Amino acid sequence: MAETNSQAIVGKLQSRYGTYSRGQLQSQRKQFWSFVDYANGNSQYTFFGSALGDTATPNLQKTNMPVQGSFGTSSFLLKTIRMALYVPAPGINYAAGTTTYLTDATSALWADLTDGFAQAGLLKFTVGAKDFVTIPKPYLYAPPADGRSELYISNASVTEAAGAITTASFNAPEADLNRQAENVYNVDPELYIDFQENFRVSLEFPAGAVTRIGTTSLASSAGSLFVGVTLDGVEFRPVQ
Amino acid sequence: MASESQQITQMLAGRYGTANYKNLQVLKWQYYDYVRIAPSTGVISQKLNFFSVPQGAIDPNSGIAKTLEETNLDRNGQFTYDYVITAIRTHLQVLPKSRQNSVGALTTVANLNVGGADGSLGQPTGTYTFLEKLSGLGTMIVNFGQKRYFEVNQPFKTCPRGAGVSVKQYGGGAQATAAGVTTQRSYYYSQSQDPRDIYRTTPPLFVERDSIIDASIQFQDAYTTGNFTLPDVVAASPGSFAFVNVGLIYDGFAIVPTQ
Repeated sequence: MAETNSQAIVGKLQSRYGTYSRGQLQSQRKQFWSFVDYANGNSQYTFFGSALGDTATPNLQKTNMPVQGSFGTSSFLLKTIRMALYVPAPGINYAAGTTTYLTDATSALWADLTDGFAQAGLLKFTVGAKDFVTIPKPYLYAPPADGRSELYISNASVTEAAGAITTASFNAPEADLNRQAENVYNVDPELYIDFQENFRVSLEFPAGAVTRIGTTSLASSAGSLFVGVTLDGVEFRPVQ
Repeated sequence: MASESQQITQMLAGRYGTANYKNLQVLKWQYYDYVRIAPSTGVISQKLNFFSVPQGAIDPNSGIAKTLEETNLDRNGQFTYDYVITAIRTHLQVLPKSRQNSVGALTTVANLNVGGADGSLGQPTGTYTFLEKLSGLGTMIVNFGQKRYFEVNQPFKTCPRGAGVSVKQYGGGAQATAAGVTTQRSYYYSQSQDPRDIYRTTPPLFVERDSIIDASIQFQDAYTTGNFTLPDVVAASPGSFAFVNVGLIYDGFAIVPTQ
């Protein structure tokens, strides 16, 4: 389509005095991510709805979006989608759960992964008014697949009373989302999202909110667990 | 176009220099930099800077001069060669026992890496469980010049080391206790040692040798002293936290002049 006069004039001015080189693009691998507070279960979570510096996403741990709902002056080729989560306080008191590890299912995050929110929900990626990606049970089918670390746990030893047989389960429970790189959810064919094009990503539980289970060590209160989505692909940005 | 002085220098270098920049060679190369994660307080630094302290200079957290084991950076904040980055790794490394903290005598404690008792890294509230949670936090930011080229969330997970020991079984150890009491549950944390998991930079990034590197891992969310203090390994010895280094490793190719 031919440029209008004003576009041509702006273009000329921009190429001569602008802060970036118009029409020249640079590409690089890029991840955009967005995390929200899981609290104790909502029926819907919206991601990428706030930009870095907004009240809900004040720092890079929560998002690196330049503007809300679009990639700003960059365009983006979406290649993979990864669900993720994090616990904000690394000093979590595992000792609070040690007395219950052997007897109940409420002592750590593992129960939420094997029997909680990770087993439910659906993820929607919408551009404009059209759904482009819908993934059921996204924590299973779009795992982090990012080289996730391992926590190995030994068996517990039990000293038995003389002549008595102690009944106990010996393994402490631990689970993680699927971490192997080859299990990543590929958007195939890839999806190109133009600069300043609006998109929306939501995790929905239309059959009902899923409350937290493993709350002995990790509180179910707001601020203790954040869930998120990482969009991985190639960013195209103007050359400066 | 080269200035007159540059032309003269090039001519002299071509004729008498120790390197020939007209003939280039490509070598598989890693640039790496390890920094101590916490100073003597045991509180993890909110911002860990990489490739800013070259060999021979003092790591501000450990107070020890860096050797080739910690970094192969020769110049402050600059690569020695033109370099193509094809992958990024991080390494959350608990130092070997002989280099551990003298507070709490971690260099000689019997059960540093096994068991869940006092004196072990594997206690339920110990170093390994702390590092596992820490690996879910932080953002890696890499700028060359003034411009941002990499921004990676949860870098210890997303950019794992992709190498290392594969633990098959982990022991809880033994401890005399009262009858019927369960003890000695222990933990061992490891980043992925599978090379397929490392973070590949597609497309690769070419970095010129004089570009200024500004690379860091920052912990911006819920950063408080309480949340980010490494746990004591020996309960009776305050300050007996484990020495942990964090490495940032670039995989790629160096473009070096022939000699």
